[in-house]
Amino acid sequence: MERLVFDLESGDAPAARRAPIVVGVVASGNLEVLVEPGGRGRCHVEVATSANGFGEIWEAVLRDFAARRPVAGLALSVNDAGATPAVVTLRLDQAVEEYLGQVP
Amino acid sequence: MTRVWDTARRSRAARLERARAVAPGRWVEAARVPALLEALLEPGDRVCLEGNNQKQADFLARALARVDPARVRDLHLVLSVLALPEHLELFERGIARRVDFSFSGPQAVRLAQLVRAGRIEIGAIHTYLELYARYFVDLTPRVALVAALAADRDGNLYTGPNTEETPAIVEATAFKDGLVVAQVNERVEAVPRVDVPAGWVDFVAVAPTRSTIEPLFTRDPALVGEVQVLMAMMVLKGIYAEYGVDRLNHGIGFDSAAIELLLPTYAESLGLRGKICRHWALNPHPTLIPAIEAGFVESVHAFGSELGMERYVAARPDVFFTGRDGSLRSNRALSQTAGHYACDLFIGSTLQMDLAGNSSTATASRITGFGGAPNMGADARGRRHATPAWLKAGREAQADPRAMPRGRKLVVQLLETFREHMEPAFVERLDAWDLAATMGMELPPVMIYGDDVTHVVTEEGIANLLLCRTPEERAEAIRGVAGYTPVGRARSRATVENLRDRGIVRRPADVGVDVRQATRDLLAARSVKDLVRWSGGLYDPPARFRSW
Amino acid sequence: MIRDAATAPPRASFREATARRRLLGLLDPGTVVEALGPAERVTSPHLAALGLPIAFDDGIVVAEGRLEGAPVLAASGEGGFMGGSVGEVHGAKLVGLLRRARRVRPRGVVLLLDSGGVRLQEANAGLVAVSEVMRAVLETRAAGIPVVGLVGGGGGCVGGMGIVARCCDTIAMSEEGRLGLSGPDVVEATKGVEELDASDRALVWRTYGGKHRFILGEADLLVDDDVAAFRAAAVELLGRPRPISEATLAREHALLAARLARAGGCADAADVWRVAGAAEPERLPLLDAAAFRAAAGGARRALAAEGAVAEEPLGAGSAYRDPGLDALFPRGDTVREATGILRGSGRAEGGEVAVVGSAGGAEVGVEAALALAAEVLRVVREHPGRPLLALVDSRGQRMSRRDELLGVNGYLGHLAAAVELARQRGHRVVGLLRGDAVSGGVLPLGFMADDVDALEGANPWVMALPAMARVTKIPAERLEELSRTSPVLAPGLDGFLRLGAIGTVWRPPLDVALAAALARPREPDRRAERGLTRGGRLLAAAIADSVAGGADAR
Repeated sequence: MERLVFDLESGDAPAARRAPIVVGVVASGNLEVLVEPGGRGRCHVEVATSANGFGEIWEAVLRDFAARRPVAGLALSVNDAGATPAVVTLRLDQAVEEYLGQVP
Repeated sequence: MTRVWDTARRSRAARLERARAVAPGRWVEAARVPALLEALLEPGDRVCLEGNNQKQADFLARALARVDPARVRDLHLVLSVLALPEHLELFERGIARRVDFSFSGPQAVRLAQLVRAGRIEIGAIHTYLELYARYFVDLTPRVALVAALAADRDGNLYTGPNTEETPAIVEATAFKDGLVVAQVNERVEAVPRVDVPAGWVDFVAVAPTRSTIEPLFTRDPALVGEVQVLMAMMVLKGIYAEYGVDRLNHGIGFDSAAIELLLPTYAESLGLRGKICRHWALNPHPTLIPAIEAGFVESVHAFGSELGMERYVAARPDVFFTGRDGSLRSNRALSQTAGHYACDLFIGSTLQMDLAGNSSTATASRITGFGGAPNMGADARGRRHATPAWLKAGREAQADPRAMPRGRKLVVQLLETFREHMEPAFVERLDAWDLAATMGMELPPVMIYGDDVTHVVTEEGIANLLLCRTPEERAEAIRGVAGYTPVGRARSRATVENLRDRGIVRRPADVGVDVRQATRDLLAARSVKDLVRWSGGLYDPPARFRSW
Repeated sequence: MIRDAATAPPRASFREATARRRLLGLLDPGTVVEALGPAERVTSPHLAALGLPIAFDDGIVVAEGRLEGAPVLAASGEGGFMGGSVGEVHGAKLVGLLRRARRVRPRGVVLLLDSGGVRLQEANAGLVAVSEVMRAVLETRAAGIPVVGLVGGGGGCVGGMGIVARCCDTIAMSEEGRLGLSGPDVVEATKGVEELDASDRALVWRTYGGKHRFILGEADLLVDDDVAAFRAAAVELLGRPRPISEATLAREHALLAARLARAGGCADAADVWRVAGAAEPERLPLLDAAAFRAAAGGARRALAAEGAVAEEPLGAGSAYRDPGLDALFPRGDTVREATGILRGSGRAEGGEVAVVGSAGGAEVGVEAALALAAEVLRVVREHPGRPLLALVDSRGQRMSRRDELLGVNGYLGHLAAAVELARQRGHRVVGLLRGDAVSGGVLPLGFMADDVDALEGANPWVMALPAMARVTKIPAERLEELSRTSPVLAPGLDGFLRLGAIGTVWRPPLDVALAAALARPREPDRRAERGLTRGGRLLAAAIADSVAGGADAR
C-alpha cells in the first residue's frame, strides 16, 4: 500500500459546509472517494492505494482535477484498489458533483 | 515440343482414380477419410482447410493430422484462421510446411514457438478479403476441405447461417480443377436450401461429432463499464451525429458493444433515430438487438452467424439477409467488400498505438495476425459514390484547396489510455517492430496504418486526425488524448490548447457530452437477460452467458 | 414490431446499486441517519496490517430511518468490497445495530445481505463476528422485533452469512440473488469439479439462486431485480413476523423434515421441482418474478406440506464411549452417536444434563443439523430447565452439492434458532470445544452457547493456511509469519481465547469444571468485551456500543 498526500491550489468551492459523502467502491479496478469540508485556500487530498509506484500519475491527475474545478476548501480521501486514471477522474468528478449538489 | 494445357485436369482425374479404391462414390465413411486424403493429396500440394473465424472443418483437420507423413508431406496450407491445435500439429508432424493465413488468435503463442524453431514457414499474414483474393490469383487451392451443416444424397451442401467463406473457397477450387471434400453434421433427404451445388463437390463425409461454432461476438452487457459508456457517448455525439454516419461496421469488443447499447437511449434522446446507423456490415451481435427493436436498424449483412441468434434473425427478415429456408445467409467475402466500399465508417479497438496513429495487437511472443480489421479500417480509394459523411471527411482532410477533392472513409480507433495492469495503450514505438525482428518478417505487422485513421477516441476525448496538416500536429493531437500515459504527459500544453481551439482535440464538454450521464443506467440493456427480453424471448444465449 | 425505447428496462437494479444506494432507495427519502458512516473512518486494522486496501465504512452501512413512515433499522453490505465478507468492524456494526433494535424497538430490522461470509483475511475474528451476529439476530427476534433479510446483491449470501440469513424471520430474494453455505467455488475446490462445476452458471443458479430457494422454502418472496420491488417486499415481510416460539420452530422443523424426505434423493434442482410437482419445470428459469411466483407457488407449498416425514434422519446410533465423556460424567451417561453426531444426556452433580454435538471431526450436513435441532427441541419440550451441553469436534459443514441444493444453511439456522429457544426458556447452554471446531460445525451450536469453553487440545480454525493463501493471494509464508503474532489468523485455541471467543480452558477434573460452568449465572453475549480485556479484539465492543447507543443496550 502507498499513502500519498497532496495540497492542491484551486479555485474556491462554495463555502457553505455540507455533509460528507462517499462515492465508489473499493473493488479491484475501482476506488472510493470521500469528500468533506476542509481547510480554506487549498484542496487537501489523501490517497491510500494498493497500486504502488504511480505517485507521479496521481499528482498529474489531481492537479488537472483541481485546475478544472473549484475545489479549494474541500478535503478528499481516497481508498484505491488499482483504478486507471480514467476511472479515478470519473470518480473525483462524481464525488465533488454529489457533495456540492447537496443543499447546505 | 508442344505444351500440355490441361495438367490440372489430368491430375484431378488421377487423384479421383486413386480415391476410388477408398470411396467408390461421393459419400465416404468417417473412418475412411484419412485414407481418402492420402489418396487425393500429393506432397507439396496447396490445401485450403476451412478454418474460419467461427466455423471450423474440425473433423477434416483431425483426419488430415492422421495421414502418413511419408505419403503426404510438405503441404502448403492456406486458411483464414489457425484456430485448432490440430492445425499446428500438421506442421509439427511434417505434413505441412508452409502457411498463408489471416488470424491465429487461439494459437498465437504456439505459432510463434514453431516459427522460432523453424518448423513452419509463414508465406504471409493477410486480411481476410486479401487472402480470398489470392485464392483466385496465386494461392489457388488444389484441395479444399470445407464444413457444411448438411448434404443431400447428391452432395448439394447446406451451409446455413454460418456460410462464412465457404462459397469463396469452393469457387476458387472447383473452377480450377481442384478437389472439394466436405464434412457435414448430417445427411438429409432434402437440404433447406442449396448453398453449394453438388456439381462443385467431390466427396462428403458425415463427421462423428457435430462441428460447433464459438460465440465470439457476444458481449455481456453486465461487463460494460462507465468509461466505455462515456466513450460511446462521445462517439455517438461527436462523430456519428456530426458526420451523419448511416452505414458502418463495428469491430469486435466491449467498446463497440457500448455504442450499440446506447442507441435506443442516448442516441434516441439526441433525436438520431432514422439519421444514423441504419445499415450495417456486422455479425448478428446480441447487443444490437435493442437498437433493432427500437427502430434504428434497417439492414444488416453478416460475415457469419452468432450462436444463439438463429431464431431472432429468422424472425427479422426485413433486417437480415435470409434464404428461402428462412435462416440467415452470411458471406464473409461479400461482407468484407461491403465494409470496404459501402460503409462510411469503421470503428474498432486496438491494444497499442504510436504517435503516427499506427496500431497493432502484436506483442513480442505471439503471432496473432490481422483478421478483417485492415480491410474494414482502410480508406477505400477506389470508391466513387458520395455520401455526406464521406464528403465531409474528405473536405476536412483536404490540405490544399486547389487539389482534386475526394471523399474519405471514417476510420475510428477507440481505446482507453491504460489497459489492464496500468499498461499504457499509447507508446512511442510499437511492439510490432520487435515481433518483426524476432520472426524475420519483412514489415512490422500493423493492423491499421496511421494514415488511414481519421479519429482517435479515448476517455479523454476525440482527436480528429483529418484536420492535422503535419506529422507533428498529428503526434500532438494523439498526445492530447493519450491521458496520463508517458506519451500523454509529454504533451505540450500550449500546443494541445491550440489544437483544442481548432477543434482537432475535443474534450467531452467540447463535444457536448455530460460526463455525469456516463453511467451504466444509460445502457438499453444491462444484462444478457435484458437482451433476451428485448428480443421477446427469440435470443437463446449459450450456456456460458446464462445464469438461469 | 418496433419497440419503443420507453420499454427499455426502467428498473433501478438492486444488484447493480452500491450498498448505500440500495439502503437509501429502500427507506423513505430524507429519513436515513447513518451510524459510524465513512467520515468516521472506523476501518479494519487487520486489513491494514496485511497491507490490503480498506473501506471507510468497512463495507457495511448501518442506519436508522423510516419505511413507509414506520421506524426501522437497516444494514446494507457492500458485496464489492472484499466480497462483502465480515470482519471485526463489520460484524460489530451489525451487532450494535441489532442491540439498538432491542433498545429503541422499531417496527423491524431490515438486513440487505450481500456477503461471502467470514472475511478470511481476518479469519478468527471474522468467524467470531459472524457468530455474534447470529446470536444478535436471534435475540432480537426473541425480543419480538422482526428481522427481515433481503438477498439480491452480486456477491450472493453465502458462508456464515448464509446461516445468518436463515436466522432472520423471513427472506426476500431476486432471481439474481444466491443463498447457501459453501459457495460453488469452495465446493468445487474441496470436492472436485464433478461434484459441482462452479463455471456452470446455470447449475450454480439452479442450486443457489432465488428461484430454487423460493420453491425450496428457503426464501419467502421472489422479486424482480429492482429497488422498489425489494422495498415492497420488506414492507410485506415486516408484516409477517415469525417470533421464536415452540410453535414457529415446530412448524419450521416439520417443513425442513418434509423437504428432506421428499427432495433428499434429488441430484439437481430440476428433480426437486419435478418432485414438488411444478408444471413445465424447464420453463421456470425463463419467467419473470410475477409469472414465476404464479407458476411455482404450488410447488413450494407441495414441498413444505406435512406428511411424508422420515422420522429419524440419522438412525438411533450406538452407545458412545470415550474417556472424555466419562471424565465429564463419571456418574454415567446415555449419550448415543450416529455418524459422529452425539445426542443424549449425562448425570451431573446437580442433575441430568442434555448432551448434543459432534465427535471425531464429523461434518455437519442436513441430516445431522436436523437431528440436532430435533434433539434440542425435544429437550425444551420434555425437560424444562434442563441444562444443555454442546460438545464440538467437527471439521465444519459437509461440503456437497446435495447439501447446498437442500439448503443446509437453513438447517443450521434452524438449529441455532432452536438453541436460542432453549435459552429463552431458561435452559443453561454451555459449549465445549473438544477437537476441531470449524465454520458450520461450530457456528450454530458451539458458538451459540451462553458460555463457550474448551478442553486442552481443542482446535478452532477457519481455513487451513495453504487454502487461505490461495484465496487471499497472500503468500503462505507471510500468513505463517503474521500468525505467530496476530490472534486473528492462526488456527488454534490461543487466538480464539485472546479474541474473547472462548471463555476458559477446563482443567481436570472435568466433572467439577462442568459443574462450575453450569453454576455460573447466565450472561448476555460478552465475547467482544472479553476480547477487549484480553487485548485480542480492540474495537468490536466499542463499535457495537456506539451503534447500539449505549453500553447497557442488550
